[in-house]
Amino acid sequence: MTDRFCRKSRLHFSDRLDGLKVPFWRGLVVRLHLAVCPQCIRYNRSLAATRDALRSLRDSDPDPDPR
Amino acid sequence: MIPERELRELEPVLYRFALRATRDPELARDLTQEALLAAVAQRGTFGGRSSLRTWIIGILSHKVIDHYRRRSARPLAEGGEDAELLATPSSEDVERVVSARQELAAVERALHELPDLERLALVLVDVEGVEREDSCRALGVSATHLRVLLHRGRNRLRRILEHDR
Repeated sequence: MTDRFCRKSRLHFSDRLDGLKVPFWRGLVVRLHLAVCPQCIRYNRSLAATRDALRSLRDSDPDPDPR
Repeated sequence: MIPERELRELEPVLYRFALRATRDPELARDLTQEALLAAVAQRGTFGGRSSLRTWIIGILSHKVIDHYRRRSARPLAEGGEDAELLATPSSEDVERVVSARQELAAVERALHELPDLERLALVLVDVEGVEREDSCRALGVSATHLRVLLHRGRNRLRRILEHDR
């Protein structure tokens, strides 16, 4: 697997998290790549965890005086 | 007509949003009040296409963006794309991000290291759960631009959480 494949695939991971449609062939290539590339699996897991961490702020109050 | 009670109930939500966007309690209170006053003045334009909460958060977003513009007198800060944003994390890095949900203060701090427009996009879409179409209107950007802001913002935040905790 090449860096070029990883880079091209990763550009779509954020959209996939939101359930946005990726053009069919591009989506297929991304899914296949994500099934076999351990680096991209780690990257995707970290990106999803980042989005989940942001969502977990939804019901919390920010520091009242963060300066 | 928008019932005053509903507006009052939204005040804490708006304040929280403004505080996350500005990190300044006094300014956040002012912007919240400005947004509520603007909502009352513009109540005739609320068509019910989105929820009242989403509509007023949109008004508040405009106030925040106006503040960013006044403060910097420059185009809004937006980070660039670079290879570093797409870097592969180690397994330890991933675990740090996964555990970030237990340390919300660290996530709040990391959020404030982002460029203004990326932070605002993440607060709208990921924290507040505002639909993308409504978020585009609130930020005054196209759908493509919002995709880029979310992609860069999430990746920038990911890199901070992977390394700075």
